[in-house]
Amino acid sequence: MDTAVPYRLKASGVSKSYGAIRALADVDIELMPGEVMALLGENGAGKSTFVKLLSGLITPDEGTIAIDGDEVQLATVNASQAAGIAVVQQEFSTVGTLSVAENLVLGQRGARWWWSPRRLNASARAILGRVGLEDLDPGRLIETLSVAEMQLVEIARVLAKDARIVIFDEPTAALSDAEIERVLGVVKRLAAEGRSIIYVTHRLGEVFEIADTVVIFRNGRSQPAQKVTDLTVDKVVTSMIGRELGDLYPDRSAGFGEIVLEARDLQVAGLRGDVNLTVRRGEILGLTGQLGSGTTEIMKALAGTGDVFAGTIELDGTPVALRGRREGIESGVAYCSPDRKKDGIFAGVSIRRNLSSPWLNRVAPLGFISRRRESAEALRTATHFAIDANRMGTPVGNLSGGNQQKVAVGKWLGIQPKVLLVEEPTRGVDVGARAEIYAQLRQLCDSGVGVIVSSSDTNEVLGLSDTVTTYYRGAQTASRSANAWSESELVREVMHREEETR
Amino acid sequence: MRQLTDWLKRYALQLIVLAVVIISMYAAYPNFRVEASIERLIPLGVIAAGLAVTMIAGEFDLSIASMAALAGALTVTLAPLGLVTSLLIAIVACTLLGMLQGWAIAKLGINSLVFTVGTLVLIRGLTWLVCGGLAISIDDITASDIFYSKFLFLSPLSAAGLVILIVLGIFLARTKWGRELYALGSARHEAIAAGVRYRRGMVIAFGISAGCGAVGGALTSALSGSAAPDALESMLVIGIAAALVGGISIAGGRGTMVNVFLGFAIISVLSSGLAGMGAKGFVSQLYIGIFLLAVVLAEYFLKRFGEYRERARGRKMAEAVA
Amino acid sequence: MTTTPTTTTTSTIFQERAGFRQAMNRVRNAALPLLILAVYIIASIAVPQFLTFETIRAILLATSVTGIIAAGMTAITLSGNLFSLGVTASVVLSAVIYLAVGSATGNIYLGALAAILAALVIGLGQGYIVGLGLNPVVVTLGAGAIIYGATAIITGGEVVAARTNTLGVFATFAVLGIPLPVIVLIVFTAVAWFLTDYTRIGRNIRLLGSNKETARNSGISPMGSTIWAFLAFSVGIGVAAVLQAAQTLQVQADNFPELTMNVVAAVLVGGTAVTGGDGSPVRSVIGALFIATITQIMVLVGIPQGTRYFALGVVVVALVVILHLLRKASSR
Repeated sequence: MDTAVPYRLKASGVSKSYGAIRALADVDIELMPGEVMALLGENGAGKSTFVKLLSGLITPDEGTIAIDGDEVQLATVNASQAAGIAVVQQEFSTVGTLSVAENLVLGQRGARWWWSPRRLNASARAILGRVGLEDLDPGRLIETLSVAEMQLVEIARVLAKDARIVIFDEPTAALSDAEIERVLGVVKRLAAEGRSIIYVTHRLGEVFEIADTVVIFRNGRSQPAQKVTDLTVDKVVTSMIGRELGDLYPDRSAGFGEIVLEARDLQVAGLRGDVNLTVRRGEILGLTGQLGSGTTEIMKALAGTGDVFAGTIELDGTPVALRGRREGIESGVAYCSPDRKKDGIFAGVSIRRNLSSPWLNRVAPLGFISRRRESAEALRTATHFAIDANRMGTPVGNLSGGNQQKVAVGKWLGIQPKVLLVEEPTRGVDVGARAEIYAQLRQLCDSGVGVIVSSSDTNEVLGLSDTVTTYYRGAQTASRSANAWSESELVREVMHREEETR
Repeated sequence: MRQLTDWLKRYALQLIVLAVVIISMYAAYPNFRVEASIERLIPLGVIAAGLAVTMIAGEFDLSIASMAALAGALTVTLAPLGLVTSLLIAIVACTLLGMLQGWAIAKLGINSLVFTVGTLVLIRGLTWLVCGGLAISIDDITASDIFYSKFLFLSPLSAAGLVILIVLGIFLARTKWGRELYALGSARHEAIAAGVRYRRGMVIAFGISAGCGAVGGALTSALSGSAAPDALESMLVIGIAAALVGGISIAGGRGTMVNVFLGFAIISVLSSGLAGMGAKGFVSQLYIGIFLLAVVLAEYFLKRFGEYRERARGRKMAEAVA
Repeated sequence: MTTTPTTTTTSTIFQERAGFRQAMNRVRNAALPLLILAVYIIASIAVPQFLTFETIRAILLATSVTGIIAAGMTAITLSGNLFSLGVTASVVLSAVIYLAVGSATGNIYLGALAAILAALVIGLGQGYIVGLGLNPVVVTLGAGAIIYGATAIITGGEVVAARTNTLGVFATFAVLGIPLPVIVLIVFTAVAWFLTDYTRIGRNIRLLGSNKETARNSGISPMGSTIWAFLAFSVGIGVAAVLQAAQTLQVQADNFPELTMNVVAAVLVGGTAVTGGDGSPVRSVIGALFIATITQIMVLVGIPQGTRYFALGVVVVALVVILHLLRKASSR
């Protein structure tokens, strides 16, 4: 590297801690103009924390960030944008009932007060052309666009800001092959214009196609950037794994019972091909895949809230028609959603009442709640899950993430489920509580329940499950007993298909 | 030409309903004069417009009818200063009050429905105070004569109403602040993240709402020469009905002044037709209620139908790939 | 978004904030009862005729109709469905039916039953439509307009009067000097409180209001709970209508214009969360009591109607804002 060429972005010694947890430790990253840098790493490795830092959502505890030679304080989102950083998020940030052109101009400082469609559409067309949407009518409302078009408009919005550094956070999760090519083309074009690109992804195929350099995060530290040409899939995978397993995971099952849940030839919206899986009593089946892999759709289908077009689901050999959560619960299928704040817990309600919510009818003969029985039963669940029994009256929203998750999972104990479906069992949960949750899941399983865990954390899935099935972009790729998997193989399977990296 | 057909498609439902209503009225009541319906632009049309603006921004201003009554009371009380002056003072004062409301709602982060339930009582109370508890009237009854002149079928009042609707329409469709209201209404989180100023939007929305109510109430009082503490109470329900029947979405982010005008027209033709037939006021209340429920139910079933079609499309895609 | 703090320094901050939140919560719960107590104490000292049997009786009577409806409406608010803005129309209809059926059959109990049944039917319809997911404000406003129009058409806009005075028994009957409406208020509130706190249906209504999606995932049916909430509300409407009709012995289509707002104000002032999941019928009755007390004091002091109305508006807005701020502070 010619040291006279100024770096576009230079992060030195950046650290960030949350209490005792080091999310980032001594991160050094240098980014050149026109360079496409891929950030890789498992969940919790630190890359999303680093992106948040650059976006201005959080501030570092130590370290400096310099852009084009000047040190910057990215204390707020505004400061980050003013420094020339733009982020293309996973969630869409456009307004559906306004037109494409209007969205491109929305919220801009110094925008004119008169919005004539002709002027807006003209300037929109110019920007849309750069993302390959030159045929799109800028007067169309965002909500009429396809997901892929919306994603490209998101990118176009970023272009409208004329940023020096563009960060892409998993931009292709919901896109088809052709659409991904479009996005990658845009990224290349942006880099050719001299902008610096940070591309966060789990898809190695894309990394090998457009990235110049790769920085791998592990345990909060960033490894020195490597040229993509020097790397292979195996080398990347090896660098990514290596988290301390420790005593986090309980022993695997000694033996399984009969098949408790079987899905046969299931056609589910969002998945290519049929879904076939079985879970036996005493078995933890792990489904793993990244964003857009289809695992969420499968879990929803098994829970009864997804779109199932064909096929059968059998519980204990009897076919069931799961039309909603009520039928699911009555049939003995418990489901923990991945976003407990949204639909997993009642935040303003006490622990006791949260725990009793799915099985209230069991302590309410004739419709009148026996508070004594409710308390007793809830207490039993609480002690089982190591929830502080003295706080049964506390609103769940006031608890730590780990305790909240214990409540979200624990409440299903009371319905004596046949099958427990859990998505992202330890999202937003600290290490201590994680071990407890894993232990509880294993215990539940050993008592005769079939457990299906879906998680994007390959380490977790491998440590916890008896059988692991991998998914990539809407299709199942492999299924083996956990003993037959190595972590690097798992990571490979969820991050690419052979065709993509040759 | 294509724009015209787009426009027609957009308002097709309301246009059809309006046509049906007009024809029914003519059929039932031979002396029916549709032009008379436009008179009610003040107060109904502008109140519906004010309600629409807050709905578009994703809020609800239940105090608009009380604001109208207050403006009327102020107009009559201040009439000795000259009718035009008192009108202006009343409208400006109420608009400022509305802007204050919007600011408070944004600053407190309180649900506008809850807040305006309280202010609807408060402002009605203010009206009582101004009126001194009784119906009041302007001494000089000739002062309002000007309002009775007519140009074609438009009186100065309905002309003013039309102008307001047109100006608001342009504001909502072509100005930055107007479009930002749509953004706040349909995707508030995203809009604020993009840089839209929430507080400013609330001040504008509730200011316009109060202003519209004030215009409606002030001019009504100027025309009749009197004001009462319980004036225009029914305007809230009728205004909401007009806005919703016209096609303003209660979910926010959607609707134009054309929707407001069409909704107003439907309700107004209905009411004046029924009144002309000799039916008492409560009959039109009944029909208005029916229309209101019919519209929201229709919107609901259309949404369900849309979702059903989405699923069918998704199914086709899945079957194609599998 | 945040990971759990595990060091002692951060967890003490966590606990301190929890302490502050709890304190704010306690203030919020105690605010209204303490306020009423303060008002009563001040009024007893400052206003001469306040602490008399007649005054207290008048206050309680005035509270009874509004309070019963407010207690019932709390179920709707708890379920996350805001309020019903069609109270007046439903009450008028039920009152008319009570007087009409009661006069026609000569049986006051039959009349009362018919009134409550009518309220249940119209409540069921509204509950179903709201349960589909439609906006409760619009639905109840529209239904109110329809009911008002229908009632007016059926009665021809004329006064419907009781044919005999026996229909007034529900208002005049007294036990130990306490008028029946007040007793009914107390009993109704107690029952409502019990149903909300000790039955599965009541619990499900609360949970629905707390988080609709979580409720669905837990097997609670939004439609079912919403309908139950509206049915509970409708019983309140029917009962209150009978009591009201018994007091005046005549009803006209456009009676009780301020009733809806009084009831909504009572629920708001009482402190039940408008977002749902948190509150109680008892609070709403206390809210109704507070409003009735303030009104009566103003009457005693000689404040004219207009000013009273204005003062009431100020009080409602002020309390709503304060309660809102307290709630925000107790959940930060």
